[in-house]
Amino acid sequence: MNRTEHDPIDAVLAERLREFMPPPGLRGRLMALRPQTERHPVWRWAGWVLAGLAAVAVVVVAIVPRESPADAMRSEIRRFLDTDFEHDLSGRPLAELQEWLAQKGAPVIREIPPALAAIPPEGCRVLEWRGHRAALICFYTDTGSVHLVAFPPGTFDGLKSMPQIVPSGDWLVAGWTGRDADVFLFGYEGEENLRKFL
Amino acid sequence: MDERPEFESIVDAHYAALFRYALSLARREADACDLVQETFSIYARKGHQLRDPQRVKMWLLTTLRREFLATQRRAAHFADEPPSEETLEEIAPDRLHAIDAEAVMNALFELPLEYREPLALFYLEDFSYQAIAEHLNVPIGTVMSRLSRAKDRLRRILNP
Repeated sequence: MNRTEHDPIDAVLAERLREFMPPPGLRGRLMALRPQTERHPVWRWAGWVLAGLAAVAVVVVAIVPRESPADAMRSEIRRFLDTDFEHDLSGRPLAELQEWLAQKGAPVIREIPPALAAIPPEGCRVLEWRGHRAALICFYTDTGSVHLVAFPPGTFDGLKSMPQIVPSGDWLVAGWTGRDADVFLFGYEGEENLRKFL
Repeated sequence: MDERPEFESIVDAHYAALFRYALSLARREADACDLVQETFSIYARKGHQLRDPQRVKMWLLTTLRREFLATQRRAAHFADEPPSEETLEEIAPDRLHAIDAEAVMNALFELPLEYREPLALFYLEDFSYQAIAEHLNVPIGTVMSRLSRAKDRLRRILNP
């Protein structure tokens, strides 16, 4: 017996509401969203394109003044975050993600900002960046996703203990150094939104 | 081996229920359709990360609610009036069966969001008090009092 069937009025009202049908056309709109599964042909030519881009990048690096390691990291990580990347582990509490990351040799952030720690995380992943192992933890908030990335302490020069926010493309990145890690919080919903989680 | 149900099966299994829940929140059919579309769009990108296929519907409902709250914040038009104390109203049995689906949905639309939401989950999804409390992230006692007042208000609207 359903819960609503205990009361005859509830039963009728629930039945009436469940009679409400979606408009025609909605199913078609949704089916158009189905993920494309045949990706291999794309990767075949994408490999050549990437090789070409890499060759161009070598030339550009040789003639353009180099950006700081922190700027380069921010730029490369946010480009990664813009892709449909997968988490190594998802659907677990923050403490379990932290423990799993620690087992994988990734930095553990023991002082996660309380506003972030209060949100159930989406998932985590181990990242490798220029020989450094980093931890990525993603949070899906009511105002969009934010991504916490931690590197071993001292990886980047010039970080302060108070978060400093700098733009990187369309994203904003807050960076600070803590006891256990150099930490960066990536978000794309504006500075006010990012500051809520610091 | 991927044991995840196909995207098409997930849409067919859940889109009508999601639409009704979205409509109960947004109160406009076009907005409800947009919410359902955005929810399945997120599922198309991130659904493969779900470990437990049994939790798909709950994940979809939670994601839809987050999207709704995000759009509400962006629009900043929470115009719902505050709740008030009321007493339980009964609907006459002969009148009850004359009420159609549209009348009930329109009556639901008249409720403030904080009443509309638990009532929609109770009627549409047959959620328990505990499940509603977890979904809305409020204490179970709050759910019980809001549901009681929500039912009372709905019956008043339907039985003027």
